[in-house]
Amino acid sequence: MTITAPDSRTTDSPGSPPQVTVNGRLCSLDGVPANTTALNWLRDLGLTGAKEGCAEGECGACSVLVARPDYADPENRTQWTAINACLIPAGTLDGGEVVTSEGLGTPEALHPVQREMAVRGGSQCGYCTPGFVCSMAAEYYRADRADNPEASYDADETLGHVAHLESEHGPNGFDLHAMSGNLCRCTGYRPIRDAAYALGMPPEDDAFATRLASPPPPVRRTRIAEPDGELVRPTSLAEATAVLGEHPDAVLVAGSTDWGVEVNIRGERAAYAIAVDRLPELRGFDVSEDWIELGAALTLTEIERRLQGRIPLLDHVFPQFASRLIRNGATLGGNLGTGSPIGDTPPALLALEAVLVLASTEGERVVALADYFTGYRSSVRRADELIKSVRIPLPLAEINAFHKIAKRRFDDISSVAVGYAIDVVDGEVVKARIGLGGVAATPIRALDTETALESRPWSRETVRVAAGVLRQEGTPIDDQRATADYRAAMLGTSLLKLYAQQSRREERSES
Amino acid sequence: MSALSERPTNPVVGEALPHESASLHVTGLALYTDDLVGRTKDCLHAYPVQVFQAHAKVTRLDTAPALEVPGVVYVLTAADVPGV
Repeated sequence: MTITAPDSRTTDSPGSPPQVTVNGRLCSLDGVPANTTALNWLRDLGLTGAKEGCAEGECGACSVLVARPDYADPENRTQWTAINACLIPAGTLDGGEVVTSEGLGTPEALHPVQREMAVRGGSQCGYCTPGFVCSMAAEYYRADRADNPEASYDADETLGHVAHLESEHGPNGFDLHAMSGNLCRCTGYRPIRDAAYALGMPPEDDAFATRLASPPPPVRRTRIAEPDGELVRPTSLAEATAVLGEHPDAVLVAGSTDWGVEVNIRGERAAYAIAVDRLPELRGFDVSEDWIELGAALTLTEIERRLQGRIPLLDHVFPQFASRLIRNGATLGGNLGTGSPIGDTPPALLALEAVLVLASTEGERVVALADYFTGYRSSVRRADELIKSVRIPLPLAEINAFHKIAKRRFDDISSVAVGYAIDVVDGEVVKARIGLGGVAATPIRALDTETALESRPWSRETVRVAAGVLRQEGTPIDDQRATADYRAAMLGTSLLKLYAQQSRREERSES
Repeated sequence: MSALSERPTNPVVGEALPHESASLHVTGLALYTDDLVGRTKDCLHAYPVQVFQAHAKVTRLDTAPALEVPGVVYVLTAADVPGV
C-alpha cells in the first residue's frame, strides 16, 4: 500500500461526505449510523483482523493504528498511535488515516513486527494477535525509540519491586508497556515480549516511517446526521460552545474511553455527539511561573510525554491509569467530565490543588477542583459548559505519592485511591493535601487528615495518629470491588506506607 | 550411541517451526466464526439476549419489538426448542 501525506489544500470541506483513509484506501462513512463504533465499521468493510474481545477497552484485540500529531512537533510531524477501535464512534475518524493489521503486511510480505511475532511463537489461537501487532507497530515506529543495551528500569527504586513494573524497556528501546492494553490467554506473553525486543529500527524505505515526517491529517469539520443520531466535530472552541449551547444534552466525546463503554455495554446511544478531541484551544500545554496548564483534550499519553517528569505525582498516576491504549485516547476533560468517584486523576489532581477552566458562550470561569464535584457523577459544570483546561499551581510539593488499590496491578478500576502532596520544612509538615477516590460519592479531600498532619513534626508518631484519622475519612460502601471495611483498612495503612517509603528514600539519598 | 538415538537427516522434532497459521494470525487474515458472517452469502447470525438479573423468573417474554428492528428476521426462544 502507499502512504502519502494529505494534500494540504483539501483541508476543510464541510460539504463533502465523511471519509477515512484505511490502509491507504479512501473509505466513505456515508450512511454509517452515528453510534457505530470504528471496530464494527472496519469489520463491516471486511477488515476482520481487529476483533471484539471485551468491547470495553480492556483486552486490546480491537487495537488499530491512527495517524496523530507528533507530540513533540504536532504541526509538522505525525506519529502512529494505537487505540481501542471498539470505543470510538466511526465518525470521529473522519478525515483521518487508519492502519490495521491487514495494512501492515501480507503473508507474502510480512511487516517486521508480523515476522517476529510469527517466527517466535507469538500466537497460538491468534485471536489477540492482530491487536498485539498494531500496538507493537506503534511502539516500533515511536520516533524517540533508540537502542539502549543498558536499558532496564527507570522508575524510583525506593518504591520497591513495584518500581520496575512501571517501566520495562528492551535492549532495542522497546517500551513493553506499549502493550499493557493487550491481553493474551494462550502464549503466556513471553514469545510476544521476545518478538518485541527483537525488533530493529525501521528501514529507510519503510512507508509508515516515511509518513511520520509529514504533517498529520488536517482536522475536518465533521457533520454526520443519520437516523440514529448526529455527530459533529467543530473546529474551534467558539464553534463548540455555540453548538453545545444549542444542544446542552449533547454527549461530549474526546477519547471516548468511558463513553464507548456506555455504548457497548449499557446500550447507550447519543442523539447528538460533539467531538472535542481536536479543538486547538483544548489542546494547549503551557508552563508559566504560577502554574502548568494542561488542555482538557490532550491525551494522557501526550501529557505524560510533554511533561517529561515535571509533575512527579502525575507520573505515578499514568502507568496505573488503565492501559497505554486507553491513555492514548483518554483525557483529563473526559476523566473529570465523567466524574466517577473512582476516577484515577481526581485524587491526584485534588492533592495538586488543581483548578479547572470551564468555557461556554458566556466566556470562561475558573473553579477549584475541590469545589467542582457536587454529588455522584454531578458537578458545578453547567450543561452548556465544557472543561477547557486544568491548571496545576506551582510550586509543587516535595513529597508525592499515589496509591491505587485494585485487584490487578494494571488495567483495572481502583477500589481505593489516595493522592498525596506534602511539604516538610525543617522536620515540620507545613502543608498537606490529600485526595481520595473510591470512598465517597465523589472524589474528596481528606481534610481531617490534612489538619492532623499540618504544623506537626513529620514523625512516625504524627503519621500514626494521622493514619487513624485517614482511616475514618469518607463514607466507603460495599460493592463488587471491595467492602467498606477493606477500603477503610486500605486508607488506614496508606499514610504509614507513604511515611515508610519516604523514610527509605531519604536514607538512600543520605548514604 | 545407537543409530535410533542419532538425529535424522531432515529432522522435524526439535526444529523451530512457526504455527501453521502464524502468517494468517499476524496479518489479520485468519478467519474466526464472527468473521465469516460478512463473507457468507445469505448468512444469518444469532445474538444471545440475556436478562439483567442474575437470579429471577421470566414471567413475560415479548419478542414483537425485536422483530420490528431492521435486519431481525426471527427471535428464537425456548418455544422453538422441540421437546422443551
